[in-house]
Order: sequence, then structure tokens, then C-alpha cells
Amino acid sequence: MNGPWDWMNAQQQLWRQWQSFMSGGNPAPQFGADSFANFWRPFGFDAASAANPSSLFSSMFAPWAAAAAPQDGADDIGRWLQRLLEGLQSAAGGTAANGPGAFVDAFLRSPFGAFGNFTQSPFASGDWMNMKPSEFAGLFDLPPLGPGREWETKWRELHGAAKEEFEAHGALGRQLGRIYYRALKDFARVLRDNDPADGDITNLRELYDLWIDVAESAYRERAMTDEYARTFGRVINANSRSRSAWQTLLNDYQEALNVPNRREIDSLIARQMELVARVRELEASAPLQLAEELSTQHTELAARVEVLESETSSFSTDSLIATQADLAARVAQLEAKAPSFDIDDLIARVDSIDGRVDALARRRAAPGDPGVSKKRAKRKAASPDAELPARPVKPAKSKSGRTRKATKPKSRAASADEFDIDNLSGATS
Amino acid sequence: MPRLKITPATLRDEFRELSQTMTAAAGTLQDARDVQIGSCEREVVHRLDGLVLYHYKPLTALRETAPLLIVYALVNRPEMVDLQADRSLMRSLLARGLDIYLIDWGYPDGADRELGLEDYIGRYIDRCVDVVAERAGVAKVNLFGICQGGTFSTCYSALHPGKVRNLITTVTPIDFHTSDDMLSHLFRYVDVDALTDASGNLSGDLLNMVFLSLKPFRLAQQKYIHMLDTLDDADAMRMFMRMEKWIFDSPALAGRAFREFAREFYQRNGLVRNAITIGGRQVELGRLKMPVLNIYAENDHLVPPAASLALGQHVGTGDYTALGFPGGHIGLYVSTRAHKILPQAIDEWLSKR
Repeated sequence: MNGPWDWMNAQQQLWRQWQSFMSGGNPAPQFGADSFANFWRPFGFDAASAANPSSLFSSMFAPWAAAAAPQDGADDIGRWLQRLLEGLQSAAGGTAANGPGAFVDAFLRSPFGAFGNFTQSPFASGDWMNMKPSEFAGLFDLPPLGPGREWETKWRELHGAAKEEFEAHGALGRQLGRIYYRALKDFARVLRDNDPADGDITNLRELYDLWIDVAESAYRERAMTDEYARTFGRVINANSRSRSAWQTLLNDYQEALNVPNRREIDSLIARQMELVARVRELEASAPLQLAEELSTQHTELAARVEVLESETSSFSTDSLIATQADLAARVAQLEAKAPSFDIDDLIARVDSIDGRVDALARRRAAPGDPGVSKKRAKRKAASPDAELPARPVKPAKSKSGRTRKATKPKSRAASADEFDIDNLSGATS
Repeated sequence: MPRLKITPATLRDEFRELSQTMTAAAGTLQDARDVQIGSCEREVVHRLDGLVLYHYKPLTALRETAPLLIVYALVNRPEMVDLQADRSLMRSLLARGLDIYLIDWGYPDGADRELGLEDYIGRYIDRCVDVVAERAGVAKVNLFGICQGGTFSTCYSALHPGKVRNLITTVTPIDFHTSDDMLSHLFRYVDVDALTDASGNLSGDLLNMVFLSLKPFRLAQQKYIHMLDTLDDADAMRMFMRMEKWIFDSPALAGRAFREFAREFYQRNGLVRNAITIGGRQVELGRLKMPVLNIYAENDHLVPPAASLALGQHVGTGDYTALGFPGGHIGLYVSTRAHKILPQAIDEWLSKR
């Protein structure tokens, strides 16, 4: 191959082969191609001109590809393309001008044609197709114009990426060439330098294994250099760039036809993952959040109880318990004093005193002395034992064994009101 | 060329022998066409997204020890631990009374491209550990990580030391910047973000090409030449084809997980610098307080011994053991020699803990 236009032909062959590969060698469903052609015709796009895939390629991609075809090293690229073609040919199981993927072809074809109309417009009146590649290359530096400028920009990116990928593969090929050269050189040296310790090589298998050892060693030595790592990275990166450029264009064309594309799927996946992450976050934080809420509620309740207790301390349980304990202590104190304090005994003693007072009064006064009150008379009538000496009274006990508190008999309530019980108690103790 | 002693007679004999082998190969190749991988019975005990957790049926009475959870790498399939009955690490461990579970990551598709290390380590492994612990009625399990799965297990154990009783790592990269690590070297200038953006998931085919490029002459040529020697051996051919099937049955690598692993572990060597964060939590190797058994292959071209042995310099446990075995990255599990000594070594180490 010589010159950029041979390179162009190789590109066109590649494109046809690629389509054949994609189609799997099956006949094309013609209705698909027609329907797409019919679809685009009202828009003024000449789908018929894109009936031939090669013309499609040449109308779209070829001008830039031709413009950027390297002046030097075209043979290398040609050979690389030839190998690629052979690989595709082999993978497709033969050649086919059309295939089932013609539906896909048609799908791709029309937008490509549309793109051609857009992008050719700024240069339509010029003789730019006849320009030499070196002259045309300058046009690539010009900013794209017109309504198709965004498309053109993306196609330029694809072209640049493809060119970079070719060059990167060339650089890697040169690295591999050095490795082979070094391996062969070392292999010859190993065979030449007879070392008795290594033993003789008596069959082809041993010879082959020795070659593998030497080649592997040469490869490793070279591959571990920084230069090789950079070249390896360059190939991967250029391939990434090239595929991204293709994907960008394909996504745009699919969007133009309202066909779901990778970009949309990625967007949906990203949203789904955000939701999954959010759900996980909520699930993980739910128990903690609940505990925090409960803790907050508990704190608030505790504070409220404290306030209530301070406001109504007499009703607080603790206060009641304290009061009850205090009362119990006081009762115990009182009960400790109780053996000498019995109300019945006290009343009896009072009655006894009353009786003695009455007797003295009767002795001192004549019969019918008004000094004796009606109340005392009643009391005397109600107490036939009034004259009897006082009975010793033991403290009454409840069923529980505790000393019962002193109580005032109802029948004597009136008399009890007439004196201070504390004074009496103190007087009798 | 004095070393060359190839004579016409030896050449003739060599080709005659090859011819006889090729004749016999017609039958053995037919026989080896549809090989199956796996020899042990197992049941599915849990599913989560594309993940499947298997429990292997015991072959003998279970020992009084925590269950063993095997965490495989995201690349290739975990059946490698049970390739065939006479080369099965799984079978050997089951025969020693271990209760074994295994995580099968499945085949990630386009919908899984956003699965990251937080999902694999923080969510999937954690869930499997909980399931295994619950089924066994224990608080802690024994983790057994293989290759990248060992790195994952190491990270998990550092994040959840309370759930791991013992940690066993095999051919596990810890320090990704050792001088003899070719895989790391080749990836040094790769724009990982661009690659992931363009690829989505990283295809198994691409991964295979990268792995083959580590030893291109040996793995892409010599291996098949040597295969000629076994063409008339039906068992050997079935074994070869099982290996071939296993090697090239390569799931894709979820895009985000690849992006994070390649960038943070391979390119930035974050693990030994305690610079890895998973789910917002820092992975500190010093938190590995449980007993650790670190097994490496002495001729490993994927994970050089130095990359594995670095673990010993960073763990926080005083019970750390490193064991080197003859053989390569894969041979550790399937070679005849390793098959005899590896299960026993694991069993003995576990039985003391």
C-alpha cells in the first residue's frame, strides 16, 4: 500500500468487513433499509446515496480520515488493517455484502447521511475534496461552523482518537519488535556459549523450551521498563478514548431516533444505586435514630417529672414515702410513751377526781347545794362505778401487735373537749 | 552451536512419537470436549443481587470449630477450589471435618457496573458473614480469602474484627508496589477512569489478555505445545480442558469495583498506607488482631511473594504465620504437590485456634 488513498481504501474495506461481521453473514431484511430510507426522505436527506455502505463511509468518515492519513508509515497501518480485516473475515465466517444487520446498517446509514449534509454545507461549493491531505489537514484546525458543528466536533474527536490509537499500537509494536530482537540475540548467544552445566539439547522440544525461556526473559526485562509501561498505558488509554468517541456518537444517533441508549441506562443505574445507598443509609440509621428519639423523649420526660415534683412535691412518691416514714417515726415515739398514757385510765382518774370533788362539795354544802352541775350528775348516773378505785389499764394492742393509738371513746368525747390532752399527758407521766 | 545435539534420527523419533500421540488424541479430545467442573455437593443458602452463598455438604462429622467462609476474587470463577475430585482443595478440607461456605459473585452485567468495593466488602461479605454465623450459631467465622478475595477479606477483617475469628489469606496482594509486580507496573500509566468510562464493566476477555500479557510466550504458546504430550492421556486431557474452561470462563469485573481497586490499591498502593476507605471507614491493617495465616506461592507471577508477605509488617496481631508453597498462582490449588500439603497445613493451623 502506498499513500493515503490506499489507506482510505483499506478503511473502506474495513468498514464493509465490519458490517459483514456484525451481520453474521445473513441476508438483509430489505424492508428495514427501505423503511429507514423512507423515514429520512421527507427531511430532505438522500438515503439512497447511502445504500452502499462504502459510499456511506466515504461520504462521512473518509474525508477526515484521508486528511489525517499519515504520510509516513502508511505501509505499517496498511498491514495492521489487513490483519484486522483477516481477523474479521475469519470471525464472520466469510464475506457478505449485506447481512441481517442491514437493519442496523440502515439505522446507522441515515443519520450518517444526515450528518453528511450538515457537515458538507460549509464547504459544499469548494473543491476541498480534491485538496491534498497536507492542505486539508489545515482545515481540521478551523472551528466547525453551522448547525452541524457539534456533530462535527464529535466526529473530529473520533478521528483524533482513532489516529492516536493507530500510533499507540505502532509504538507498542516497536517495543515488541525490540523484545523479539533481544530474544533472538540472547537465544543465539545461549546456543553459542556452551556451558557444560546446562547440558546438551537433543530434541526439538528442548530447543523450543529454551527459546521460550529466553523470550520470556527478554520480554520481562523490557516490559518492566518505564518506557514500556508508558507505551502500554498509551495503548489502553487511546483505545478508551476511541471507544468513548464512538459511544458518544452512537448515543447521539440513538437519541435522535428516540431509541434507548447506553447513556440513559447508565443514568438509570446511577439513580438506582443512589436509591440503594439511600435505603441502606436509612436502614443502618433507623435503630440509632430510634434510640436517639427514645433518649430524647426520656430526657424530656425526666425533666417534666422533675418539674412536676418540684411543683407538687407533696404528691410525689418520694415525698409521700418520706412523709410516711416520718409519721411512722413519730408514731413510734408516741407509742413508746403510750404505756403511761391510756385514755380510759385517764378518764377513770378524772372521774375519780370528779367524784371526790363532788363528795367534798356535798360534805361542805347542804343538801341541794347548786355547786353540783347537771353534767356531773349525769356522768355520775351513767357511771355506777364512779366511786370505785381506778382500774389499772394495759395499752390496747391491734391484731398486728402494734400498740393502738389512743382514741377517744365517743361516749366521752364531750368531756375530752374540756381539757388539754397534752397537759394531761404531761401531768400524768 | 555446540550445545545442539539434534540428529536426524532423534528428529525422526520425535516426530514419530508425536504422530502416535496425535492419532490417539482423536478419542481423548472427544472425551474431553464437555468437561464439568466441581465434585462436591453444595446447596444455596443465600442470594443477594447476583451473589450466591453456597454451603458445602460435610463429608464427615463436623469439628468443633467456627465455619469457614471462602471469599474468592472477582476475576475468574470460584470453582477452582473444587476443580475435580482428586484436585479439590474443597474436598480435602471437607474431609477434615470443616464446615465450609463459599461466595460466588456471579457474572456481573451492565446493571452491576456501579457496584463498588463498599458493596462487595461492606455489604455482600458482611451479609454472608452474618448468614454463616447465624446458621452456625456462632459470633465469629473463619475467613478464607483467595487472591483479590484475600485482599477483600483482609479489608473486611480490619473493618469488622469482632466478626472474624481467624483470617486466612492465600496468594493475596497487600503491597501493590513491590519491584517485581508486573501487573501493577503495566497499570501504572493506565487512565483507569477513562478505561472504566469507556468499558463500563471490564470484560473478562480484556482481563484475560492482560493476564496473558504477563507471560505471553509461556501462557499463549508453550502451554499448548506441552499439551501435545498429554493428548493420549484421557485423564490428563480432561484435567487440561477443565483448567482451560476455568481460565477462560471469565466474568466481567463490575466497573466501579474495578475503578476503585485499580486506582486505590494498584496505582496508589493505599492498603499498606492505611489510605483505603470503604463505606466511609478507614481500613487499618493494625486492627487485624485475630490470628492470621498468610499463604503464598513461591513462583507466583501474578502476586509476587513480596506483595503477600507485606501483610506481616502491618498486622496488629501477635499470632501471624506466613507459609510459602512451591508452585505458581494457580498451581497452589490444583497441583498434585500443593494438593497434598495445603489442606493439611490449613487444617493444622486452624485446629490450634
